Amino acid sequence: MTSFIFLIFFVSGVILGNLLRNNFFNINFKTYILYLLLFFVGLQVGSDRKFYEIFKKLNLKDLLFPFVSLAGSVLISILIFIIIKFPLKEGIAIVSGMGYYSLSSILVTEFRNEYFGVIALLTNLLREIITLIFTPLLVKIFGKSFPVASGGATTVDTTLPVIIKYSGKDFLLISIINGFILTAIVPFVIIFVLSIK
Amino acid sequence: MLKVLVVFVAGIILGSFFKKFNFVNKFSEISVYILIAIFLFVIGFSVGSDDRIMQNLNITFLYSLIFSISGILGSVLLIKLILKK
Repeated sequence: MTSFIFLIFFVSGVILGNLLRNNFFNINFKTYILYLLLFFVGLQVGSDRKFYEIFKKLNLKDLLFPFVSLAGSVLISILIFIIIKFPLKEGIAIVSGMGYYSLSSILVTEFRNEYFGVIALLTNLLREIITLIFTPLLVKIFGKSFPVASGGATTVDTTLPVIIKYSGKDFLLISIINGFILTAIVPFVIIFVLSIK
Repeated sequence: MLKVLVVFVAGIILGSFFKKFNFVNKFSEISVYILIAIFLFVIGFSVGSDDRIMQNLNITFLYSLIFSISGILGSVLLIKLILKK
C-alpha cells in the first residue's frame, strides 16, 4: 500500500513536470528535505525498541546475512556493469539500495542526477515486487532463504508477511535482523560509493 | 556528503535516548513517509520536465530490470555459498 502511494506521488510528479516544464524546485529545497529525511530515518532506527531487543538475540551467522547479501548483489552486478558498459560507481550505488527504493533513489539523485535516480528507484522497487510475486515459485528452486536474500532492506516490513508464509517462522528473526541492518547501512554505503573520487 | 551522514548518525544517537518513548518512533516514522512522498514528487517533477530521460524510459526500465535480477541472484547465490542457508 505504501509503495503504491509513493508511486502515485512519483508518477504525478512526472506528469506535472512534463506538462509544466518548469523547475520550481531548486537544489537548496531538495537538500533541506534530504537532511530532514535522513535525520528522521536515523531517529526512527535509533528510537526503535525492537532494534535493541533483536541485537540481544543475535548470533554471528544471522548477523552476517545482510552483509553477505549486499556483497553478493554488488559482486554479480559488477560483472553485468562491465559487460554492458554501465558506469561502475553509479551502478554499485544503485544495487546497494537493496530494495530501499525511496531513500536510494533520493540519495542517487541528490549526489548524481535524475537519470541514475530513476534507475535506482525502478531497480529497487522491482526488487521488492519480484520478491512479493515470485517467492512462491522461487522458494522451491532456491530454498527457504530466497525471499530474505531477495527482499533486502524490505524484509523488516513489506515482504515480511510473504517470508513468514513461504519460509516459515524460523526465518522471522533473521528476516527482521536482515531488514533492520540493511535499512541502517544502505545510506552509508550509497554515500560512501558515490563519494569515492 | 559528510554532512548528510553526520545528520543521519545524529538522528540515530538522539533516537537512542528516546527508545522508551514510543511516540518519538511513531512521529519519526510518519515524518519519514511524508518527506519521502514529497521528495519522490519532486524527483518525478524533475524527471518529467527532462526530455532526455523521458525519451529513454524504455532503456531505463530495461537497465532497472537487469540490475534488480542481478542483485537478487547475487544475494541468493552468495548466501547459499557462504552461509549455506
